Amino acid sequence: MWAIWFWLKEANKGLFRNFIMNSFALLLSIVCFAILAISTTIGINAKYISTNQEEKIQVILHLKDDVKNYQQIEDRLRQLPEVKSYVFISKDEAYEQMKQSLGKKQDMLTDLNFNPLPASFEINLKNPRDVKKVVKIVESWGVDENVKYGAEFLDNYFKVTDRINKIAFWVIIVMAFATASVIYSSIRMNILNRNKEIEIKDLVGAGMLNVRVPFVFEALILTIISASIVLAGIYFYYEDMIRMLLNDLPIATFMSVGQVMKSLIPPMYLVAIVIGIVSSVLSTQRYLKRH
Amino acid sequence: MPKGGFRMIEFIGIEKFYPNSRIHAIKDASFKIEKGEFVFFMGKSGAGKTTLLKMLYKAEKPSGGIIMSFGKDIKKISKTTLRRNIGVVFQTFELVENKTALENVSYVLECYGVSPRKSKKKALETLAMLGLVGKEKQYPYEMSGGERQRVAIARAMVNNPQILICDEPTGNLDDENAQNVMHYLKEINEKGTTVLMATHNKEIVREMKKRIIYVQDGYIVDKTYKNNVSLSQYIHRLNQGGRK
Repeated sequence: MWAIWFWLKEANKGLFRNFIMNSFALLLSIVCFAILAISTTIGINAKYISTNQEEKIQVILHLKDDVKNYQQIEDRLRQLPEVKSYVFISKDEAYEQMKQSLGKKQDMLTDLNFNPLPASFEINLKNPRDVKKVVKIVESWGVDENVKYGAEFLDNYFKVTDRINKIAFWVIIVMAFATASVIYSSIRMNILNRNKEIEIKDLVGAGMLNVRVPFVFEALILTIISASIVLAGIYFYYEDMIRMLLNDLPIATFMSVGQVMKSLIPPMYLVAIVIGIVSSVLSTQRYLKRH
Repeated sequence: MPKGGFRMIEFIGIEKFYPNSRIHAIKDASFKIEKGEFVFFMGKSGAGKTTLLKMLYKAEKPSGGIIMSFGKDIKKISKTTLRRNIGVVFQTFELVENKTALENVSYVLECYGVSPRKSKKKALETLAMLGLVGKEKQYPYEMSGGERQRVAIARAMVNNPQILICDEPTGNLDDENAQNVMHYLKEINEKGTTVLMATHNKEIVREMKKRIIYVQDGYIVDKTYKNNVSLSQYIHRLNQGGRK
C-alpha cells in the first residue's frame, strides 16, 4: 500500500517539476478527449433517436376530402414492412381533438360552421431512417392532401451525424496519436529532470517497478484529469449546447444528460487509461533501458 | 540474504575487458573478504579499483570469472536483492540537491515501500548515528563536504546492509573532515558491517591498520592474505567436492 502512495507522491512531484510541458500535454489531451466526447455524444444521440424515439417521428398522411376508401389504405399500410403501427383519425375525430386543444379559443373553429380538417393516418415506422421511402410510397397512391414528416430535420440530422462519425473517427485517431506523443515527450523530459533520483533508486535496489511506475502514474494522472475535465464540461453544458445548436427541437428528443454520462464515462476513461499507459510505457522503455 | 556461515565476498579469476577500447582493466583477480572485515583498495587512478567494486554491486559485468557474495554466485542474485544488501558511497556524494538530509536518507526506505513514518524514524536514527543531529532539515548545498558525505553514508546504511562500499569517500574532503568520516566508517565496521574502501589517501590507510588490496594495472597484489586462489584452482576444488 505504501508503495502505491510513494508512486503517487513521485508522480505528483514529477508533474509539478516539469510544469510547462505537462500543461501542454494536459491541454492537448483535453482537446482530444473533447473531440472524442462530442462525436460520441452525437453518435449515441443518433442511435437513441433511431431506436428509442421512433414513435415521436411519425409520418402523417392527410387524406384528400374525396378519399373515402379508408379500409383499402389501411390494408396497403399493413402490407408495408417499414410500418410499425398506424392510427386512423377521421375528420370528426380530428375536429374534436382540435376543439379540445384550442380550449377557450375553440370559437375560432366552431365559427367556421364546417370541418376544415382532413382525415388522416398517423404512421409509426420501425426505423426512422426509412421515412423518405415510406413517404414516397404513400405519395404514389395519390390519396394525400399532404404528407408531413419533419423531412428537413431528419435528413439533415442523419446526414450530419453520419459525416461527423466518419470524420471524428479519423480525427480521434490522429488526436490520440498526438496526445500520446506529447505525453511520451513529457515523460521523457520528466525522466531527464529526475535523472539523479532514478540513479539513486537504481543504486539502492529500488527495483524496476519503483523506477518506472511513477512515470506511468504521471501519464495516467494527465489523461484521467483531461477526461474528467471534458466529462464535467459535458455534464454542465450538454443541454445548453443542444439548445444552442438545435433550438427548434424539443430537448426531450435527445438523450438526457444522465444517459449521456452513463454512455460516455466508460469509453472516455478507457481511452484515457490506454493512452496514458501506452505512451508512458513506451517512453520509459526507451529512456530507462538500463534500469 | 543469509546472515552468516559463509564467506562475504570472493572474487575468483575475474577478468574485465573493454573490447571497444581494447583495455584489459582487470586481469585474473582473485581474493576473499570475510564477514566484518575492513579492506582498503589502493592503487593509482585507472588501476581498476572502482571497476572491481562496481562489479560487486552489478554496475559492471565481469568478462570472465566468478564473484561470490553472501555465499552465492552473484549471477544468481537479482540486482535488486544484491543492492538492498550493499550500501554504496561515492566521492561526489551523489545526493539529491532539492531534498533535505532527512529526505535523502528516508527516500531509500520509501522506495522499498516502507511507510513514511517508519522511514523518517529510521532515517533520523541513522543520521544521529553519523553525528548529524540538527542537520536533518538542511539541504546538501547548505552543508559542508564532510556533512554531505556523512549524509551519503547514512543513506547507504539506512537499510542496514551487510556490505558498505566506499569509492574514494574522502577524496573531496579536507583532513579534518576525512578523519571524521573515517571515524564513522570504523564505527560502522565495528558493528559488523563489512567495509570495502577504495582510496588514494595513504595517511588514512596507515592510521587504520586494516587489510590492503593493491590494484596495479588490473592485477591484484594482496600481500596481507595468503589463501587467494586462481579460477582454475577454484574449479578444481569444486570438482573435488569442497571449497577449502
